[in-house]
Amino acid sequence: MMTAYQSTSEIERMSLLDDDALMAEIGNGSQFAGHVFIERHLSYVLHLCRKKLGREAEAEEAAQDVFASVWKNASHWQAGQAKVTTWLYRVASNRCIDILRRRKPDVALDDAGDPADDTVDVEMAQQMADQNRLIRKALGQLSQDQQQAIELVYYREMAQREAAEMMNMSLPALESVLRRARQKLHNELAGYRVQLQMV
Amino acid sequence: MPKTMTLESFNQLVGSYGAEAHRWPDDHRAAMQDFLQSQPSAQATMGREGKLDEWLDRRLEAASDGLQARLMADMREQLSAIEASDAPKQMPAPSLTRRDYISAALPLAACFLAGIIFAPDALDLVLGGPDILASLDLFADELLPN
Repeated sequence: MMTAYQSTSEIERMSLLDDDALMAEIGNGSQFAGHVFIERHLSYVLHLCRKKLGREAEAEEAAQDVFASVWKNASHWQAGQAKVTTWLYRVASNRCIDILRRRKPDVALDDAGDPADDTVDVEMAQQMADQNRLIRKALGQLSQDQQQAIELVYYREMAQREAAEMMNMSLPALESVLRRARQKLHNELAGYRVQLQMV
Repeated sequence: MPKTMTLESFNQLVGSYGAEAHRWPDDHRAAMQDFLQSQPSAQATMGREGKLDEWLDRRLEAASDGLQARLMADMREQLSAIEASDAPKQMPAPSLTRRDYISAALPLAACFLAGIIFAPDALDLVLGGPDILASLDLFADELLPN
């Protein structure tokens, strides 16, 4: 039986692995690897499914099927044959086509986009996945207060006074937290300008 | 609230809220927009913070807690099945019969018997046979100095 500390360090260890190594661990039945894989790729897969399907419930269903496919196929994964994100893109696209056909059986394959020929989309999707990972990693380096301030003011578009009230601080204090957060993000992301410039 | 906007206060506000005017505080927005029109030096901050805004937009929307929970549950179920099937299975210890003991002992007994019969001749050949000694004498005569 693992302690909470051992579990955390095992998850940290897994989060350092690249996608191929993570697939190998999943193929051996590592739930820690599975946990990290979900955290790493869920928002990307879900974004693709939302874009193709437009309906939240169906996008979630498709995403769930994509991950079921990962657990099923991980033990057969051969490192270096393709990028994991490319494979995920294809599995997600095919699943979305199935769902679109179920919704409207006469939908043409072209209307849903043929994932096999869609190399530009695949590359863009990979870049999006990489950029999402970079941003999330940089945001993860912020303090709790800084993360919350960015989340409320930036991502939820909450009014400054409302956000300050929610965080139990004055408006100048919130501004100061936000300023330090953004400065830290500048520093964290400075080394990734090229990757972030793409798309 | 600053009565007049300065480059320093403008930079501080944009440094906190970013370059998108809709995120600026309501009571400063108009003054900030006027300042931006009249002060080209403010553009540098706008460019820098605008880039960060653009990068922050690259974060994809997170999944609902419900979906995450369902995925984790699926994953645990599927992977624990793999782990269970991969676990080394305990092989039962083989039980040896009397016949097994006899078939293991027979070659040993044969070796022992052969040792008793042939050992004297073999030792003689290696250590003390007359032919061997004669050969060694010849060899010594040829090679060793007198």
